[in-house]
Amino acid sequence: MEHGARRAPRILVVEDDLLIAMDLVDELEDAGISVAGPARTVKDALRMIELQDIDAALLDVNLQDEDSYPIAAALQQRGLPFAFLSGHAAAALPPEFAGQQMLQKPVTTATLTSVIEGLLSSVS
Amino acid sequence: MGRQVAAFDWSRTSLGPMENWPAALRISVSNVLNSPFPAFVAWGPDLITIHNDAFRPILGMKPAPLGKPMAENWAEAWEAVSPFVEATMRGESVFFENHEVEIDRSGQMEKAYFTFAYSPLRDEEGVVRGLMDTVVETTSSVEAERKARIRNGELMHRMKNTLAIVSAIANQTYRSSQTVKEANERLLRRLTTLGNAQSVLMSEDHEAADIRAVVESSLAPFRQAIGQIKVEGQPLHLAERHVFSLALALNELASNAMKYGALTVPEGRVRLGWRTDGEDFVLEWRETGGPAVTEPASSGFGSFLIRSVLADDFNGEVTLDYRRDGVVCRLVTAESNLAFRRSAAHHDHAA
Repeated sequence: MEHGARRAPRILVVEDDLLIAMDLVDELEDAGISVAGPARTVKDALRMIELQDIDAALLDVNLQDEDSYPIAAALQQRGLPFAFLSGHAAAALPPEFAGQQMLQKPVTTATLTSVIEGLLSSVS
Repeated sequence: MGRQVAAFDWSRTSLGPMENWPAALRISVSNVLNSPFPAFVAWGPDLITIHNDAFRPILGMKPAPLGKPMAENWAEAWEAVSPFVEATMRGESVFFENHEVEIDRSGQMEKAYFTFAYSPLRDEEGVVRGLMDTVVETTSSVEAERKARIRNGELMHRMKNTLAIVSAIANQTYRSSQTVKEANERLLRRLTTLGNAQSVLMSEDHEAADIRAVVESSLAPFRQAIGQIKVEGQPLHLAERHVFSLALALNELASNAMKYGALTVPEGRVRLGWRTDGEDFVLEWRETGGPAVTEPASSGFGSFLIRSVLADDFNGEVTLDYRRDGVVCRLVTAESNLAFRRSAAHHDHAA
């Protein structure tokens, strides 16, 4: 792990479906974005937030047997920006995350990269 | 019912003996009794009930309502019903569709739905003295609609999810193919496999499918070699996610066997078998009699589907062996991993 001053921003990807996760990572890396993960569970994601320098995150709302809200709360606590990804047509977010961006799966690479740019510029 | 009404001792009620009833009441009662549509008349200060035969089933196991005040017959629901009654007695007509009322007609409270109309009944001077209720119970259709809504929501979610998976498969197929033609062929084959697996799910109960039907659907495109593939295993139900990943993996194996493996020659054979022993579920694809096998130099998206996605979706281990005498692929997982949870709408359905 590099800790240089001009380190490329790193995005945490949380997605439980292996196929979709792998595809997301490929798309992001092709766009020149460095990826942490993909994390498949809340536990993995929380550990990655703890151990890796991440700058923003993409969170699938529904994981295998859980939802990703605890991850969102951990990110919020650290002031790290994130966007949700969901397969649900109109998933209602809990009030504490009401203002967060919600992307519908499947999502195009262009949308992904512009959302991530937006997330990164919101903190810099 | 007409006979029961005639035989009833009305002098014990506020209506008094039948021969003294006002013409308006007699006519209304006669209309209701002659109607095949569920209805009753309620008349007088305490709204004494006179109902027809068609109305009786709505009351279930409630005590006989004939000659009793309306408020007594509907005691448990009176708080909800009385505003409508009061409005009607002021001369208004009341009409509601699929109105929810909580009633007790079987020894416990239940939600029931009614489409009903209350019309005021007036005496010769035009004063409202009672009401007529015509009503159909719509509980079963309201519930059927509610279930259909839940199921539509689930279908919508499943479709979105399938689209996300399809777009990942398409992306990955194009990334790992040398030419557009190759990519197109592979993508079509994979999408067809997903489509066939979906058909198997739809033809069964939407959330689970028999493993043999899944196997047969994923091997169907290789019809010309079907005599060379021997399939054996016990009937077993697979959950939706298992259905898709198994179908995709088998399709990759068969496609490879057709191109490089045992299915390239007439004497080649494939044995596809599975078993459960109470602890583990083991599925094995074994090729024999084909040309000598060499491990491919690079592993593409096809082997990712076999090695990683299949293993991941089944929470198990997959080995893909390029043995010289034939490819062997094994999936091993705990049998308990095959168990699946049904969604809410299906719980209702099964109950």
